[in-house]
Amino acid sequence: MVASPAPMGRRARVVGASVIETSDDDEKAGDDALLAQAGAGDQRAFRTLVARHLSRVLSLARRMTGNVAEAEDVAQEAFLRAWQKAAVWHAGEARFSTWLYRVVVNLCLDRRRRKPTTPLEAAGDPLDPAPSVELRLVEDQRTRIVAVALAALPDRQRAALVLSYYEELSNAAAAEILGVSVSALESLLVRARKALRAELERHRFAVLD
Amino acid sequence: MTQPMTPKRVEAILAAYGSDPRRWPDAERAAALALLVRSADGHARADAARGLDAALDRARADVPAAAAARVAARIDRSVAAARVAGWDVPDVRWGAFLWNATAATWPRAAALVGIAMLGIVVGLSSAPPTAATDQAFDGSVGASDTALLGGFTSWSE
Repeated sequence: MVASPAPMGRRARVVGASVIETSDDDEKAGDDALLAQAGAGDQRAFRTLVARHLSRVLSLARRMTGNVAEAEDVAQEAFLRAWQKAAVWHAGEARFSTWLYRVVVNLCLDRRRRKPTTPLEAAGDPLDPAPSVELRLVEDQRTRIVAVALAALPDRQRAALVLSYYEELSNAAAAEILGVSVSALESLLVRARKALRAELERHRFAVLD
Repeated sequence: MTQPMTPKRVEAILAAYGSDPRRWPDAERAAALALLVRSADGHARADAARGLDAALDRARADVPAAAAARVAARIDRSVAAARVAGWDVPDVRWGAFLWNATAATWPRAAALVGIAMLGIVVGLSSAPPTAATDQAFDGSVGASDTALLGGFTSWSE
């Protein structure tokens, strides 16, 4: 099984009024520097770190918990831990984003274990306006069905799918976050997609070409 | 050493990663595509995977900027509160924190506090501050950054 680097070598991120493009190496070096400053008590440096990663953390937590409010609580808790960790962070040992996503996934799973019947919410904003109200309602319903199907997946299958498909992490990065081999990650992904297809078809959601 | 690409491996890649080659493992992408274009069965499997990808894309939604800003503000406040409480310094001992805060104003009271804190410090000194903070913070063992180094907590499907 072959591990791959990130499919995208560069990322664009909005920080304030600027769009900042970074490569993975730049990002890692930047994160380490910001963490070092935050570890010395520089809250402004920490805000920059938060701005870099918050959207992805929220996106990950939303999909893992299926609940906007819980996702926001998870994000807050994860970054507070990052602040506490900053003073003892050893640059070069691990990538900060990998550590952060692992904390987020763990926190989400803890919440799911404590509240197994988390209420489901629509998967974000409505689709683009449709020509008719009826069509928009049908499309919103289909969106909700997908969200329901995702939430019904076993926890680690959902985590694998969210990290790989929605967060677009490389298989190596996703596997590292989950603490599994690339082979095991692929097995989770195969089962997740198969289960998802079955759940969608159960809702008579035609998975068309 | 990379294994030669096989139809079975192409099928496994489609089943795991979907139809978009950008999501396929980098080192296998070109070989998998080359095999796929020559395979009628591969085309059918790719079409099926594409259908599921389209369904997954329905649940794709960006985080609204207002939500991100709101959460960023909450994080800012919680970090500021943590700084006041002295939780941001990993080696801080509560005794030392209270001692410094008290001794400057009430030296006699500081002496009494110091005696009391000595007992607390002895009790706390056996646990690493980070682990204690994590456990105190969320009450669950394992849902902490230390899980990164020691492997994941046990999963259940």
